[in-house]
Amino acid sequence: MTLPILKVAVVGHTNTGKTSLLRTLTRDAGFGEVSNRPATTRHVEGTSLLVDGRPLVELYDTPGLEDSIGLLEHLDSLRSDRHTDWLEVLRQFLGSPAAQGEFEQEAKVLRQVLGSDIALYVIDARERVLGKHRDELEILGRTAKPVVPILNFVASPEARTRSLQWREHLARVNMHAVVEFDTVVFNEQGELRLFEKMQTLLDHFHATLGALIEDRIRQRANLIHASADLLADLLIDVAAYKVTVPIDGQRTVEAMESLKQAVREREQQCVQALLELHRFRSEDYATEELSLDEVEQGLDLFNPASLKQFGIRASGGAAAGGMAGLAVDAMTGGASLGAAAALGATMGALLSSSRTHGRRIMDRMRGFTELRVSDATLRLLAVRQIGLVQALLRRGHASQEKIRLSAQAETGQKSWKTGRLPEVMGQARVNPHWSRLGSPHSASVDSNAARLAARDELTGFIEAGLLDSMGEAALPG
Amino acid sequence: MTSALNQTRSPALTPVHGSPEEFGLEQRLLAEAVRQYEEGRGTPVNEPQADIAAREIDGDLERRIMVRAQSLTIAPALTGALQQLHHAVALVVVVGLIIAAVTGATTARMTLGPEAGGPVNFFWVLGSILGVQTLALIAWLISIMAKPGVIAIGSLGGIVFALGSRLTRWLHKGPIQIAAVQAMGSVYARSNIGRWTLSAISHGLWLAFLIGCLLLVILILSTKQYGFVWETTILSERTYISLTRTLALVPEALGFTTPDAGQIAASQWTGEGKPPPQAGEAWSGLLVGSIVVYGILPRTLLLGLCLLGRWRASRRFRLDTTRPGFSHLRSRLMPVARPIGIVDREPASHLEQPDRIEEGPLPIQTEGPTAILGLEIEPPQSQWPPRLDGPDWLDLGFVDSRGDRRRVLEQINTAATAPRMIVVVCSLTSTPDRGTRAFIHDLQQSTHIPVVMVLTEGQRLRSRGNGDQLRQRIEDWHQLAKTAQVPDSRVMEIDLDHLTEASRAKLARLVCADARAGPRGRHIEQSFQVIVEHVSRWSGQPGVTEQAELQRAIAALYRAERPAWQDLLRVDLKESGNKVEQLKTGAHRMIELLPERLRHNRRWLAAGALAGALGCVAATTLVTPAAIAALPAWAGLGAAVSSLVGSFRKDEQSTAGPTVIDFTEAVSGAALFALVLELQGCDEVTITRIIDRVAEDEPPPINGPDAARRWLAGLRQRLDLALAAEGMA
Repeated sequence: MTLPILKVAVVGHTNTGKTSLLRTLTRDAGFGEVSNRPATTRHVEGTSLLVDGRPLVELYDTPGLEDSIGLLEHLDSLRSDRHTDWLEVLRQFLGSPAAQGEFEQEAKVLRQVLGSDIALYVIDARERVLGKHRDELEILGRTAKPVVPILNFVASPEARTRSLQWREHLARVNMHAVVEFDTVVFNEQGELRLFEKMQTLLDHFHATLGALIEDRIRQRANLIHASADLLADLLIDVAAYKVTVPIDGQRTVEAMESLKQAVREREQQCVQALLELHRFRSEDYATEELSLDEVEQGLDLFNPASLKQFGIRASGGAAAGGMAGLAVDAMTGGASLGAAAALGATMGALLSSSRTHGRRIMDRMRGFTELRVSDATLRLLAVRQIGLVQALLRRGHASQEKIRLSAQAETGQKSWKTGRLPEVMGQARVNPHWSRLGSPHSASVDSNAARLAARDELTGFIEAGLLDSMGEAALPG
Repeated sequence: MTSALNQTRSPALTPVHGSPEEFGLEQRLLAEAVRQYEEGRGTPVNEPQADIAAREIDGDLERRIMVRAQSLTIAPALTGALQQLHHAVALVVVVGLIIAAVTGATTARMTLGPEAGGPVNFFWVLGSILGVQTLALIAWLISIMAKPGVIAIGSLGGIVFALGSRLTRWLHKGPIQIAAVQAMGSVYARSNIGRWTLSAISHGLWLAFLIGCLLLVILILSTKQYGFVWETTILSERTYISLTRTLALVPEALGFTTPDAGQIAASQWTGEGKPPPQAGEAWSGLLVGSIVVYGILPRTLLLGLCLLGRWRASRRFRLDTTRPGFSHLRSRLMPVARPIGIVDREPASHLEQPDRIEEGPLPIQTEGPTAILGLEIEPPQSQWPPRLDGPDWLDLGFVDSRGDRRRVLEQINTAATAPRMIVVVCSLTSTPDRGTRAFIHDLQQSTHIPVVMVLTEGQRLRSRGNGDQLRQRIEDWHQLAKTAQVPDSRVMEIDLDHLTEASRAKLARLVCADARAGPRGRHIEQSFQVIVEHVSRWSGQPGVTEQAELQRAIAALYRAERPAWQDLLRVDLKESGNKVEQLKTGAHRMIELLPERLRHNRRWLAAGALAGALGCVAATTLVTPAAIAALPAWAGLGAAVSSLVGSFRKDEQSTAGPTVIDFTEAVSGAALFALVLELQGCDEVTITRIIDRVAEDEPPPINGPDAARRWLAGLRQRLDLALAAEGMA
C-alpha cells in the first residue's frame, strides 16, 4: 500500500511564523531561520514529514507575502476582460517580468501554492485584520486551492479578541476550517486538529493524513512513557543510593560531598536524556547548577531554600550545612535498629540471604553509618524533573526562549510535594544494589528483575501523573 | 574515478550487514550489548556514520537500532565478546555433560553395589537412578507451570550459565566483555529465550547423566551376575506384583523383557535363598527399560521441546525500544521529518544593499498645514489627530486598504493649500513590509512633500516581549524608512496611546518647525537673531573685530553655562601665554567637532576655524565690557586669524584682505558657534551628528541680512528635527 504524498504550501504575511510552524510540525528546532524581523525567509524550502521513515507529507516554507495590495492591483490590471479565468491571469503574471522583479517574492509564493495540494495560511492572531491581509486572502482565493487559515500566537492575551475578528473575516471569505495553533506554546490537540481539518478538505489524501495522525498520537504516547521511564530510573537510582562511611568527621564530610555530587550529576544526565528524547538542543536549557549565585538563591538540589521554593515541607526541620538534604541511618550502640528501613533490611537479609543485606548489618555493628538522600530532596528531584517534562511537552520547537524550571505548582506534582511517596520508593530505599550510583557495574543494575518491576511500577505512576497534568489523553478513547 | 566513487558510496547506501530479513537474535543481542555498553559508560556512543546508516534504511525503530549497532566501530569487538561468551557457555555445557555422564555412571556403579553375585534390591537401584532426576523433573515442571519467575536460578542450566559468564569475565576483563555478559543476561531475563535455553541445558545434563547410567548398567549387567530381589516389611506380595507389573507395562510394550507375576513372586527376598536365575534377565530388562522409558525418553522429548521453544522465542524476541537506552535513539534514528532543501532560491539581487539616500537637509516648506494619517494602526486612545498647540492639522484619517491609499493621495493633491509635510503614523507592532514601504515611497515621490514617520504602539510591542524586540523593530522601521527615502531624522518613536508632556513636546518639535524655544531655555533663536542684527549693521564684508564682537554677543547669551562650553572649546583663560597658539587650538577644536563630510568643504573649514578662533576671543573677553579692538592682548588679532583661516582653506590667494572676512563664512561661522554653544552638554559625537544633520554640504552664498535670515530659519528647522530625532526636544 503506497499512500499518495501530500504537498502543502505554508504561506502568510511576513513575520507571522511560517518557519516556526514548520519547526513545530517537524520537531526540528534547526529548520530554516527564525527571527522577529521581516523577510527572514526569502526562499522556498521544503521538508517531508515521515511516518516510519516514509515521507507522507511535504511542507514548503515560503517567503512572506509583503505587498499584497500592490500585487492585487497588478493582477487586476493584467485581467483585460472580466471573463478571463483568474488562474489564467496568475499564470500570465508568473511568466511576466514583474514576477522576476517587483513581485519576485510574491511570485515564489504563488508558484508554490499552485504546485501544492493545499495552502496553510499562517496568521499572527495578535494583529488586526488589515487591508493587506484581506488582499492576501483574495489572492490565495484566486489560486483555486484549498486554504486552511492557522491562527498563530493564540496563547498571547492580545489574541483573545483579535482571533474572533479573524474568524469573522475568514468566515466572510468562506474559510471556515480555521485552526488555532500556537507554534511556541505547543498543544498536541491543536496539531491533530490541523491535520484533521486538512483531512476534511482533501478527500484524496484522507488515508495519508490518517496515517500521520495515528503516528503522531503514537509518538506522543511513546514520548510520555519514555519520559516517565527516565524519571523512574533516576528516582530509583537516587532513592536506593546509599554510602556507608565510618563515623569520623572528616571522612563523613567528604562522603557527603561526593554523594551530593553524584546525585547532581545523575540529575543532569537525566536532563540531557530528556532533552534528546524531546528533540531539543541542550542550549535550550538554562542550566541552573553551575552558577554559584543561583545555588545561593535556592536552585541547588541540596539547598533547604530550594525545598521552600518548590513548596516541599522538610520533615523534622531541614538540617543545615553539609547535612542538608541528606539523611543518616545512624545507630546507637548497635542495638537499636529502629528505623523501618533498617528493619526491612534486616528482614530482607534474613529472608533473602543476600550478601548486601548481610554486609549492611555487619557495617552497623562495626560503627559505620549510612548516608542517603532525604525524602524531601527526593521529592524536590521528582517535582523538578516532572516540571521539566511538562515544560518540554508544552514547548513548540519554534520557541526561542530558554527552558527554565519554575517552581509553579503543576497538577501532576501534587502527589510528589505533599502526598505519600509511592511504595516502590520505599523498596528502593532498602535495596542499595538497585542504584547505579556508586555501583561498579552500573549497567548490570538494570537487569535486576525486582528493580525492573519496581521501575515499571514507578513509570506507570509518573506517566499517569503526566497524562493527568497535561489535561489531554495521549491516546484517544 | 567512477568506480572509486561507487566504492566509497556503497556502504552508506546499502547497509553492510545485508537485507532486513537477516535480523535475528544475534543482531538484537548485539544491539542490546551496545545499549549495555553505553549505559555502563554513562554516555551514548556518538558516531554519525552509524546514525546515518540507520536513518537510510526503511523500517521501524528497532530495525534502525540494530543497523546502528552493526555500524558502530565497537560492533566487531562486541560481536566477538558475545561469541566468546557463547563459546564459554558451550565449553561449560560440554564439561557439564561429561561430568554428568561420569556422575551417572558412578551412580549406577554405586547402586548396583561393588560385589556381584549377592542379591540386589531392584527398587533401591531404580530409585537411586531415577529418583533424583524425577524429583528435578517435577520441580522443573512446577517452575514452568507456575511461570513467570523468569529464570530458575537454582536450576542446573542457571548454574551452567552463571559459570559461563564468570568464565568469560574471568578470562577477559573489560567493558566490552561486561556489556556482552549483561546483554545476554538481559535478553535472557526479559524473554522466554532464557527460560528455554536454561531448561534445555538442564535436560541435556540430565540426559547425559541418564545415558551415563544406562551405559554402565548395561556394561555391568552384561559382564556380571546379579540377583534382583525385592523385600518388604509391611507391604503385601500382591502390592509388589501389581506395582512391578504397572512399571513394566510401557517397557514391555517397547520390547524389553520384564518379569511376569510368577518371577516377581519368586524374587521376594526373605533373608536366605537365591533368586531364580531366569528372573535376573527379566529384571535387568525391566531396569534398562525403565531408565529408557522413565528417564531418557521424557528428557529427550523435553529437550526437543525446549529447543523448539527456544527457537520460537528467539524468533519472537524484540528489543524493548521503550527502554531509556533505546528510546533516546528515536530522536536520532527516527526523524519526524527529512529536509527536502531549498527548492526556489532567493535571487542574488535581493542581497544587495537597499538604495542609499542622501541624508541631507529637508526642503520643508514653512507654509501650509501639516497632513497626518494613520497607516495600518488602531485609532489611538488619545485624541486623533494628537492635540498639539502648534500645527494646523490636515487630518487624512486612517489608511488600511487599497481604497484608503487612493483616497489619501487624492486628498493631498486636491487640498486648498498643499501640506508642508505629511506625518505618517505607523504601528511598531506590525512588521515593516515592502507594501508599506512602497506606499510611503510613492506618497513622498508623487506629492513632493516630505514625509515624517511617527512610530506608535511601542508600549504594546514591549508588553509582548523584551526590550530587544522593540529595539530591533525600531531599527527595522528605520531601515524601511531609509529605503523609502525618508531619512532617519524624520523617523521618531512616539507612543500616541500614551502621550506624555515630554513626548507631546517632542512631537510638536518634529512637526512644527517654528515652535518657540524648547523647555531648557535655549538661546538658539536669540543667537540667530543676534547674527541677523549684526549682519544688518555691517556694511559689506565684516572685519575680524566685527566677527569677534558678534561671537561675543552670542557667547553672552550662554554666559550662565560658560564653564561647560569653555571646556568644550578648550579655551585657556589665562591672560598670558601665546595668543596665536590659543587661536590655533580653538580653530582645531572647532574643526574636530565638524562631521567628516563638512571637513571636505573649504568654506565650512574656514567657517569652523573662524568660529573656533574667535570663540576663544569671545570667551576670554566676555568678562570685560570693552570693545575687543580696544583690548591690548588681542592686538594683531586680524592678521593672525586671517593667516589661520587661510591655512585651513589651503587657499593662499584669498581674495579677502588681511582683516576682512568672507560674508558667507562669517555668517556660517557665527551660526556654527551658536550651534555648538547650544549643544554644549551633549557628548561630542552627538554634537557632530547633529551638525551633520543640519548642515548642507556647502553653505549657500549669503550676501545680506535677508539671505542670512532665510538660511538661518532653515537651519533652525533642521536643528529642531535633529534634536527631536535625538530625543532631546
